[in-house]
Amino acid sequence: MPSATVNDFFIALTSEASSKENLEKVYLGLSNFVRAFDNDKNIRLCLINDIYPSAVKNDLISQIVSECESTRKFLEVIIEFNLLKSFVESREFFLKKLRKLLGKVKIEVVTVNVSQKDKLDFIKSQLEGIWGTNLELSFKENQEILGGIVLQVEDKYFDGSILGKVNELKKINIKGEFNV
Amino acid sequence: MSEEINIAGQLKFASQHLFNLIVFIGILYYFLKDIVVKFFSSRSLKISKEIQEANAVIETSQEAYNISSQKISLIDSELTELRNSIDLTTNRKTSEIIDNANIIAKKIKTDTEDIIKLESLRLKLEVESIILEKSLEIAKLEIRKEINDEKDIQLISSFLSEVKQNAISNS
Repeated sequence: MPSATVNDFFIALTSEASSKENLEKVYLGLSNFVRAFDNDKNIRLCLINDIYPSAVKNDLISQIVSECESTRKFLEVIIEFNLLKSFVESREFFLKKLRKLLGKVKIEVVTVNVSQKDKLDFIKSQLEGIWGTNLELSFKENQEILGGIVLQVEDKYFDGSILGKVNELKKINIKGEFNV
Repeated sequence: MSEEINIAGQLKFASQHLFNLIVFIGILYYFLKDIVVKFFSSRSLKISKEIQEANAVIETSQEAYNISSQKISLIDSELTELRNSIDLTTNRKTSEIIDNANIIAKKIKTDTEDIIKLESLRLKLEVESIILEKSLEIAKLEIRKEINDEKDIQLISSFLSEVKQNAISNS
């Protein structure tokens, strides 16, 4: 008899949370869970390890995703069916699917300085001009890029940094010919 | 006178003795003739037999010598043939070894030339790469000095316009 997959439970979850508001809550809940799972080693060990009883895991999940009932139930079920590992391995895929349902675009911006609010506002307005206003923006600072900007828009990578240009120069040898 | 008596006496004495000698020889001849003849005859037979035996030995030896000579000449000719054959084989092997050595030497030479060419190319590229790396490091330092907020925003704006254009053309 074929057993249920994470995708089956995920479809059930998104069907249940039919309104955009509920989907937004589900997305936030799952995002919080993924963040907690990625960042906290103890949570990770507790949820993955079979020696902990389901009750402990459920308590932990209810603490992480207290705001959204549907997300909590979804996570409890996948733990019950021993599918947490599969979900964790494909977490980005499910979050992306939810973002697509919400019309949300996740953009990670890397610049040399994130303390200048004017610059960040300017970047945000420019990005909204390209991908719309429903953005999930995060800024990261990296002095190594020297200047410019690096964008990770969902699966696409845009490198407009000076470091990127310098690295492109590495493909050109001294005679000015491309090595590739 | 006395000398004449003496000579006559001496002649007499000599003739008596001569007579005695002749008698003695006749007696000897009479008694010893057969024995001496027999002795010399048997001796002659013995010597002739020995000569025959010696001749037979000589003939046998000669035959053995001839056979040995033939064998020796055969061995000698075989040795000559063998020597010639060895010489030929040695010459052939030597020339083969020399040819092989020449071929290997040529191959080693070609391989070495190739290795030298490749190695020099690799080193050249390595040097070029090091120069490029250093140049880019210097360029990075210069850029770090030159870049300011205004230029950074200009750069970001220009890049985002480019991304926008691409997004529009793709859609």
